[in-house]
Amino acid sequence: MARFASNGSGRQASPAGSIVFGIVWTLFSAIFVCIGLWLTWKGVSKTSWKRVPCVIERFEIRSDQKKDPVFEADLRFRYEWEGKVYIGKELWPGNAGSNDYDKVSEIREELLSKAQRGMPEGLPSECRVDPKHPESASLLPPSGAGWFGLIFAGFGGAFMLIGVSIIRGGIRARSARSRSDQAHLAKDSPVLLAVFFGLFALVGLGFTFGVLVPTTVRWLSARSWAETPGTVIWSRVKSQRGSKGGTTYSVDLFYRYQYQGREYRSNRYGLLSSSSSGRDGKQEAVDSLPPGSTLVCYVNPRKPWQAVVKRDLGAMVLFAVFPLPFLGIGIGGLCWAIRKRRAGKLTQIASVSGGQSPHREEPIPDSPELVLTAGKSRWITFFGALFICAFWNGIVSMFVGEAWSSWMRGRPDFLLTIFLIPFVLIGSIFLVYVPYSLLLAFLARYELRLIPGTLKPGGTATLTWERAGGFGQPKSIALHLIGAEIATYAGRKKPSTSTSVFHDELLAEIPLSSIFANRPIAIKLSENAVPTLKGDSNKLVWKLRMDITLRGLPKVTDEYEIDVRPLRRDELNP
Amino acid sequence: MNPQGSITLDNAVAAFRPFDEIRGSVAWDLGSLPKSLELRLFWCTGGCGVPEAGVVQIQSLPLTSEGEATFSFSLPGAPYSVRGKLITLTWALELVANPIGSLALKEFVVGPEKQPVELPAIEQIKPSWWKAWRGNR
Repeated sequence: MARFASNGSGRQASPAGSIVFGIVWTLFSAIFVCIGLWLTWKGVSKTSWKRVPCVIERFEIRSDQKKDPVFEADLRFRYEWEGKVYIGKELWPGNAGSNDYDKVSEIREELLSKAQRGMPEGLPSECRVDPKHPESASLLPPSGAGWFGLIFAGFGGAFMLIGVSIIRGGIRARSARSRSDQAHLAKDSPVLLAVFFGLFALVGLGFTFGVLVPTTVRWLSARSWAETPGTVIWSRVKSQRGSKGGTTYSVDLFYRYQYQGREYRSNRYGLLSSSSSGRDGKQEAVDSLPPGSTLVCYVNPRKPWQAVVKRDLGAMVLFAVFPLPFLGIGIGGLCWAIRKRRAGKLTQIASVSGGQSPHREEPIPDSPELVLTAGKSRWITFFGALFICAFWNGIVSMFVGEAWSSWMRGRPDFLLTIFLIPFVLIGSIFLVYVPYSLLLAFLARYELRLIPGTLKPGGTATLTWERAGGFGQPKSIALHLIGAEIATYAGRKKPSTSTSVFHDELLAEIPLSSIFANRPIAIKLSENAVPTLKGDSNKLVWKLRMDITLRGLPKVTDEYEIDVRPLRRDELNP
Repeated sequence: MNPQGSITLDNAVAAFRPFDEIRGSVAWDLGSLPKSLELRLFWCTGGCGVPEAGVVQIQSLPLTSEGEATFSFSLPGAPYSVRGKLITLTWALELVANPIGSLALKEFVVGPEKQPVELPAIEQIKPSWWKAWRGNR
């Protein structure tokens, strides 16, 4: 089937180059898929370990600054497998602890609270046993290794899909050795774009729901945590070598505190476990909290083993805006790619099978009358603006609140405040635009009636109008017939669209005195008017534009697309 | 020897009206037997937009290494040949052999007046939103 299609000729790499690049890309992506699948299999295989009753003989938490992980479960549990008694020591399969103290202590505390006991010795529980190697057992199932592997494989798979599309495009371009083959080329480009933008959206969504939302929930909840005195056990600046060779630093603080008569420990300093470049700030924090010194921590009353020293987000708040460009580019790009794909399907105009085949053009249907109503597009604009405004300002407002409270506390966070200025300005523009677009939605609107509903070169039509609601006293109405070329081309970074108007005719300028008379307006198209063309990237469109000038209110412009069909055989001049 | 082909129209002027019949002859000399040989009637766009094409009709030709044949196609009613600032639309016949590719291409015009539709570029000055607001006071 031949159809409108595009190939972006002159801007593409050579077909052979594309194929080689696509193969390398696909193979490289396949490595990630394999690793992801292997991790998934590893995780899944461990979840198939059998659940067996056990008795905990010991469960303490050992801490050693020099070890990795720093906090290890000093665990010993007894279980039976096929009549034989075994001793298990692992908390998770292949893992004895964590660098987060509360991750290990939460398991211990929840076991104790379930059993309503103060000590774990002799506590009956359940463990997981490897049926093939019954000496291998863990108290808990693997923590999310399968899901991580699946996500990893999914990302690799999406990149593989891009690679396969590049190879396919290259093969098609290679076989396309004629100009008419342009019809078959690159019709997969919207799919490729959808995958590409989908990846962007996934990263944005993953960060939003994986980091941003949980941290925000924790931050909101930490505002009501109980202020409690504590004692520092150790404090140091921890350095980590980054993936790009640079060193990042974090505050490593371990402290104990009493809550409702019981002693707890925690190594959580801030709400977000993170490290960054710049040692001085961290060193300053560590110097102010030497071992043995007292501090103030905030304890979760519902889970007293959870505590934090610094419950405001500080500069970490900047991470909140990190997913915005990903979400914007991803979701915006996805919508654009889907629209492009849909437009491509709608504009199939010719059908070719093997051998001689008659032309099958989708004719523009003749309609005796076309009723054009304004208002829908105005509401779409309003709701679109409202959504963007709510999304943008919702996120920005959280951090404005954080900056505001830093000023209220007398310790203004200048970096955060300055950083937020452009975001607040953009948000303010949205805040102004939303009521403006809402006002436009309620302003005077008209219903146009075009008879006949489809125009043709050299043809005539009659246009009438009728007030369809809205408020505002019109001062004058101007009606234009517009013809425009719209071309979409592959820009350096993103596709761009250019518009050139080839026809702008003032059909009528109706003063206040004649607005209510509703005199029909005659439209006469010239003999050499071009019919409507609805390609993917090349369009010839005709529109009626109504400019409504209102007293003391913004001017309203409504545009209505109309069709100009080609002449039929019997309509052509002899 | 390089594969060769030619397309000759019966009309002296390569300009037609919609629904006209376009007749002519094709000749080819490939040096070897092709897997497929066909004459395609199609239109394509040029200009600054991403090129698009629509194959309207295909006439299969005998699978011989050399030969001649006549052809006759009925043109459809649209699209018209267009020459605009951003978009041009051209009609053409192309002789294509597989696996060689294009052997010959003949462009022609389709329009009610046997002329491409010329689309002038009109300068449009859009009033700013501020002027739109202020203009009504």
